[in-house]
Amino acid sequence: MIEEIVRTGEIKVISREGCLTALGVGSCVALVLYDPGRLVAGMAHIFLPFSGNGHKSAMASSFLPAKFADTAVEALHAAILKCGASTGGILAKMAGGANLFDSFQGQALDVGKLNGEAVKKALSEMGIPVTGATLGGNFGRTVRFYLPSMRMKIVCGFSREASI
Amino acid sequence: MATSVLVVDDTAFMRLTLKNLLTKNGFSVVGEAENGEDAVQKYFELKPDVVTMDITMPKMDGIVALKSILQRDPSAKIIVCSAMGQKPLVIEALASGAKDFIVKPFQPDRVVEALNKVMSGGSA
Amino acid sequence: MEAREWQLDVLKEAGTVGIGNAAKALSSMLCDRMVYVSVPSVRFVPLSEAAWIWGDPEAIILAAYVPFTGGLSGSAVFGLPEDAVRTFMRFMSLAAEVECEMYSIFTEMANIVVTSYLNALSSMTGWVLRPSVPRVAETMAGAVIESVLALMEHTNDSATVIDTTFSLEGGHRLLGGRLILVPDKMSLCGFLQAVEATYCR
Repeated sequence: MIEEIVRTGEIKVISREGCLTALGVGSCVALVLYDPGRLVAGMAHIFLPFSGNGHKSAMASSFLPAKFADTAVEALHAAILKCGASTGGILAKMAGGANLFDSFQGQALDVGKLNGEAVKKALSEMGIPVTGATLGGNFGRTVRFYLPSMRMKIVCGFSREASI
Repeated sequence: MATSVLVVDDTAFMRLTLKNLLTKNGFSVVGEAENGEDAVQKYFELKPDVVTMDITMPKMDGIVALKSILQRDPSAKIIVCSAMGQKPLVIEALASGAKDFIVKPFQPDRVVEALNKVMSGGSA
Repeated sequence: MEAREWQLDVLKEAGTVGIGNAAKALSSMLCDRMVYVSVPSVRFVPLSEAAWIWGDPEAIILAAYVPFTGGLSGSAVFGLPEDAVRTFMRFMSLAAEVECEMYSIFTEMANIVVTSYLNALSSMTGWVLRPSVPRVAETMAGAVIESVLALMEHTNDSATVIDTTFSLEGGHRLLGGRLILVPDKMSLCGFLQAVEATYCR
């Protein structure tokens, strides 16, 4: 089986059989859009929530399609359509959005939470249903999405594991 | 009567280390504080003979706490005990009224020596 | 020397004096055990490769994230493989008699090591560099780096990384750790100028 590593800011698409993998996801969100009918799936490894305001002029100089949640969701959607997904049947699963350094009196900016919220907002605006999500916590995750099973497996180091 | 000490440091480990060291050498640790705010409050509550003061702490740092204590009690004896051994900062701390500045990691003898010196009226 | 090459050289020198001072502090905490340090590597790391800075992105490490401000601002990350932490604790003279939480000991260790590193950079410029309280996490190395970079203001797709490693011999093998400095791009220029002014007078 082919395993595609999706690095920070990247988008990768597979069809029929294979695995999409994001290693050591912290405050990032690994978002998968998939079409069960056509067996096409794509993953975006999203780094920050917004391309505008907070990170001024950041977008202008970014060549990474999945760097920002608000633009990544659209880019991922376009990428899987290009590989044969149908507009009607697209579903989403996601994992990540952790806040590793949460112990510090809530003073640190919770980028993970903002990432999760930004992705959810973009998905709902596009009318894409979320069939599974595991977000938050204070630990990193490795996220794998398999075709044809359409299962997302999450490993958190230690012994915490999940399948959605 | 044993010299009373207030130990101020944000990590439990360092407070325990200092407490053990001081107790073993005949001092009496009467209180602990884990940030600058806490330190100022405990100082006026407990009125210890000496304070060991860390710098890098949450809420209020040690330099601000030191100034705040000395403003209300110019006779306070405060020894800074921090990893921040940067020259401008050491000068600022001493100019603000700190009796001594111990750079972490410290030799146990250095701490005991500094406390003894401060109690005998000497200063760095 | 070309400007870029010269800059890299200054940062490498900064890394050398920084890790040297940090190693001295670490050695003193570990009862004067010999601490070996590597020559620092200064790299422009693309965001997409950041998770591999530590090697395996899934390696579980105990990491302390220490943002700092002053003339130079940025983030420092001090990390140890999880199995090394307990060995380090054994080597600390006080660890044996002090029953204390591992996180608390590691937090203090990170504070002393990172601050010692910054003290050395301070002596290169005369600036005060203020570290904040370390924030500790025990998780995958890739997740740590990614999360630290996300907390920094980034205006493009790469980060300047001053990467130093240190090790000590424990039993049959080397116990190693890492101290990574990621300066804010905006403050780097001023720092380089200040070092130049101090060194090239």
